Amino acid sequence: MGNVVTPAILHALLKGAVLSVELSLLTYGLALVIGLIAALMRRSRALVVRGLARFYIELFRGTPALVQIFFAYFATPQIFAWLNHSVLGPLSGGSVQLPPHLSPFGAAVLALSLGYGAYLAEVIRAGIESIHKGQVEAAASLGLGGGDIMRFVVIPPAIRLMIPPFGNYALALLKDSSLASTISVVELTLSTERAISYNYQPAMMWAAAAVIYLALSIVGSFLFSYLEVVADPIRRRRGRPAARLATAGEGPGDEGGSE
Amino acid sequence: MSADPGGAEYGAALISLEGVEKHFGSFKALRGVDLDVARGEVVVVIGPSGSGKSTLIRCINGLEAHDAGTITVDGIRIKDTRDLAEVRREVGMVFQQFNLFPEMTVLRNVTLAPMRVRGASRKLAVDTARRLLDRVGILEQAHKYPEELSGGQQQRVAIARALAMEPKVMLFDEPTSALDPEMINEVLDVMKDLAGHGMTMIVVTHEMGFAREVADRVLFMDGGRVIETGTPEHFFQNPTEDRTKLFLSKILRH
Repeated sequence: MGNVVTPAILHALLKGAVLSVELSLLTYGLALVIGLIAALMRRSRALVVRGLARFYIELFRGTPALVQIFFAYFATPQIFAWLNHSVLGPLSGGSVQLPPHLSPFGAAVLALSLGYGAYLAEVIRAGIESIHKGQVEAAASLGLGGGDIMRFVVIPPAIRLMIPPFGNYALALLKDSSLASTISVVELTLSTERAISYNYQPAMMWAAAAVIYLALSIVGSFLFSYLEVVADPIRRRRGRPAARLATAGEGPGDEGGSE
Repeated sequence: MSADPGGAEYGAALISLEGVEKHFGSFKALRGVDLDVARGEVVVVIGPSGSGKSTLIRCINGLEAHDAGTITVDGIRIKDTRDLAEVRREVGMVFQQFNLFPEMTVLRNVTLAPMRVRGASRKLAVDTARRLLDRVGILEQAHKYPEELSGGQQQRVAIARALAMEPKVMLFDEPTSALDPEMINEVLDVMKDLAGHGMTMIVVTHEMGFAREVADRVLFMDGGRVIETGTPEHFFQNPTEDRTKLFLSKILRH
């Protein structure tokens, strides 16, 4: 292929892929935190708190990710300028100022983590609510307090139920991270576009990009399958995948330890 | 507590209910229930479904908040949540659906509450759990998970789990109703053993054989009221109330 696929082009694709992964991981981590907070707020006894969470979830589930990204990148400068001029300026005498605009990467992280936080909030809420009421009653009748009931009785089985949908959204997010290319984040999609403008090989380059996304998705998919096993006490003890990975770290050997 | 209708041979009442009422919306589940249960007494509660039997025992450990009347357990009157925590430590409960914690081994199911609520050391909690699991005949399964056990075994673990808190009273809410017929007796045997060792028990059940054999007193409920109460002999041989007779004729026909 001569100079069609040069080391520079490979390097650019690789860099783009790394940035896609970084963007996705950072965003997913933030989305989990936001989702957890929103899910707990949705279960609040206070109507206002519940309403706020509901509003946030509907707003971000109901608008396209691309619009959210454009808003975060193109609308925030105008909003920040107004806030600096009309709110922060008078309040702080100019000592506290918002930046003139967000970086493309920052805007993408902000928009996608809020968007995916809304989806994950529903996953978390569904997981918590699917725990059989009887187990909570049994725990309460043993005298366990609310915090202990959450920690020992509700969360562990709820997490097990949440893992498959968590995996779905992780893969969806990896692919949606390509939307960041529209605001000049040089992740895999944009680096592919740029590479094509050098070598004029769209078929090969887009196929390469697709293969890289697919490979990353498959890794993610296997990771979540593994988590499903880890979260299931019985399958964990039988230790099929766990036993294979055990050489790398903790042993599976303390099955039925006095924990 | 001057009067003690529960029977003088048992001493002072451990549980005392006076005029207890409970509503679910417009449905009155309990319409003024009075009940004294003495230390060591075994009371079996029977009655048609919807008669308030389960609601009655769920009020005693505060799983349902009663709307009127007073409930006193071992001198503690259930009023607010602080009393509830105190009462729940003294009152063990066994559910129809076992309600074991699925993510924990059998052993951990039994040790969790003593360690978290009573502050027992792991060693003490494990020793107690092993002794109790042995008593209910499940010691060999201590490291299995609930879903690996049969229903009868799960229910026996649930009994051991409640006993680990060293309760003064055990409440049973239809403990054998979700079991396959061949497993009912293994659970009833454990309950008989408990009664034989002087445990104070309130048992909601449809097992009339158990009521006859183990109960000190049988309580018949219908429509949220206690219709009739008496010894098993009185109850099964010459009940006085028409509703009791009707109920017994329905369930004892076969």
